[in-house]
Amino acid sequence: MGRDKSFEVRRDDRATGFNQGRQKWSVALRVSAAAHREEDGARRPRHVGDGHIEEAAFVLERYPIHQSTLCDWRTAVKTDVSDVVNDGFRAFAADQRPVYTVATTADYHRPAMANRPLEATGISKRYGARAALDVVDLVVDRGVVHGLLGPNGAGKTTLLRILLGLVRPDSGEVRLLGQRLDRGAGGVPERVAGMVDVPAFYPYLSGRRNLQLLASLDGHRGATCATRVDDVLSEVGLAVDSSSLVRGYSAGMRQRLGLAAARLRTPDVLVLDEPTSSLDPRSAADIRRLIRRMADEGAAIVFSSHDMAEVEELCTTMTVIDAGRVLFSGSIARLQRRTSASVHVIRTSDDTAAAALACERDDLRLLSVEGDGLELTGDVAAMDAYVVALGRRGVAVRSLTTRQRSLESLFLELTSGSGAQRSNRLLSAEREDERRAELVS
Amino acid sequence: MTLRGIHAVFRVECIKLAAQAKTRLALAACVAGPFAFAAVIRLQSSLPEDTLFGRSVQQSGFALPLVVLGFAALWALPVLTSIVGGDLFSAEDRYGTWSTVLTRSRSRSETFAGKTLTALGFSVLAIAVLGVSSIAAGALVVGTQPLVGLSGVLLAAPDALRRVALAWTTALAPAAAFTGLAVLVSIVTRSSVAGIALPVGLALVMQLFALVDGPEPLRRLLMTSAFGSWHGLLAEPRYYAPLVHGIAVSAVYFVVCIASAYWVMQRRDIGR
Repeated sequence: MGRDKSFEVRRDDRATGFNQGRQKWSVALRVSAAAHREEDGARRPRHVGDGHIEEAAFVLERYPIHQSTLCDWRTAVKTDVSDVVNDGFRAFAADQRPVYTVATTADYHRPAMANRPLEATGISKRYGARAALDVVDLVVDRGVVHGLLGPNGAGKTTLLRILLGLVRPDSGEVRLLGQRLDRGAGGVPERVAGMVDVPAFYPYLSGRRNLQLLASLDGHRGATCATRVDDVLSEVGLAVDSSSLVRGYSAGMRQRLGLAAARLRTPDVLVLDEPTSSLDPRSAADIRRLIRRMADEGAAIVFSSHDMAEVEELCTTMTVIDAGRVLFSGSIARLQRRTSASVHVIRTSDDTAAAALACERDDLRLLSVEGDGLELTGDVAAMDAYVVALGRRGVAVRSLTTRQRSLESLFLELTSGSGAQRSNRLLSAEREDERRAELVS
Repeated sequence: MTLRGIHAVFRVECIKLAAQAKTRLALAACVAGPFAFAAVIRLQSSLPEDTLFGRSVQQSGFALPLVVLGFAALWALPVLTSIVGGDLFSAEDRYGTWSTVLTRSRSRSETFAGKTLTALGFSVLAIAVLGVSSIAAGALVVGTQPLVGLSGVLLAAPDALRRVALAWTTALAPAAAFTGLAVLVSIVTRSSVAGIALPVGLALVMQLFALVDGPEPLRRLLMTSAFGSWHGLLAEPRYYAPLVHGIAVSAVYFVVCIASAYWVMQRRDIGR
């Protein structure tokens, strides 16, 4: 009981397990918990422990045991003949009798995993001395469009490439739809798609032909494939131009084609790198609608963009990274809570002097000095003190208004200053959060 | 890595190749070249006497494919093998399509295997087309007279045809080696120009080394030496030692190049 055993689960082309039967397994399982069977083959498996195999963790399901059958089981394991059945592994004894069933962790935890189709944990990547990513975590739930924000060179595209297996992380792990991403193994898992940078295609082929070839690489051919290609071309508004050579496509058309190529995989996980950057406003709105629809259909979407309005419109959660480190990860509402959510706009008789005074104060932060006044953040007490100080300096306050900050403003605050300053800001905001929570309670 | 996956990549690469003008032009040149050569030989009075079988080129149609083979080994075969092998991988860099291809369901290993098979397939096809075209040009333009072998023995037409076909077959091994080299250069440099030019340049340097009578052990290790390993097939009695040696040398070059290329491909970060 409870001792380790090893056996092979061999690949079976008839597999009908994961991903509509397209997944084929050839793995060595190490049984780390006792497995038993009931003589009469009763099928009420119970989980008895987690095991580990090279490519995927698994959970062993247990059948009630008669002590006398344990020896048989051991023998059977050694002389295994195995098969893959719906959503799990089933090992057979040499005489083809099923001995016991093993389900993968992804399978076993399906209800929990259902909301975690994309998990990246502890991702680090260095290019020479520069850390492109420093222990980055990213989790995206089903049906969520997750914004990935950061200034140029923050590491967004590197992270997206790692998510798609294009770049190998120095450390950390990516799990897509419960499968560990191993670029040496079998490409990107089915129902995972992505578009990094400006999508590129073979210029000497038509848009439709390009998509047909990509569908071929996914193992789809024939009339169904052709219909599907036509459907996705229509969805992205490229049906009319689909027969033209890609070399004649504009950047926007290539972007649409890229989205069509991703859509072709009916993705449950979709990774998009600035998908609307080259599109006119109407086309961008169309694409945003499509992305929203895919999320509504249950896809987990990671979406990087520099357009804050777009992120605000599409995303419910987001991760802000800068210099390879996560500055914030969570919902936009939470970001607003963690930073100074409101901004004070003050107009004075001498904005220059007012700006100079604001800079002298530790309890205020000057966001901008514009023609029609100053933008400041700080709590009410700090503003009160500031207004009094302005009066003492002989600067008259002409108007003072408070408004909700835009995501862009929050982003700028989050990503400005040194790393220590940013940490302090978040830390103080965190303390403020806790203080509020205490007051509320 | 599955056979189905490799087949999918191979099929896609074949479709892409068929759509490209350069491959069609190369194959067209393989068909037309020998006929043009035969026509020129037929029209001129002088013969390429300094070439093996050059003296016989107007006496037997079977001499012509051997002259073409000898001439092609100098640079045409390295060019034909590199034109696809040296471009198949780096073209993805040129078009920026690695991200597109490698985010589908095929693994890097399958992609590598499928593309390498395509490059090898094209090399085989090009040599086959050039060989068949040369034999056809010789037979149609000059005739199917018996051929005087390298030992002075007269070879009857069917025997000559069989030996000529075998001679062309021997070009496959060094062609595979050159394809492997082109694949390696293409992956390492990510440049199609380098992928095509470097193997061809290297072939010319090797030919030069052989011409200036470099040390024999080194000459035997040259990739290009295997292109001349067919001579023993046209002698009587036949000898196979150079052929076996050529195949062994080519195999070593091929395995080393392909293994290195695979290693680089597996470790490469796309987009950097």
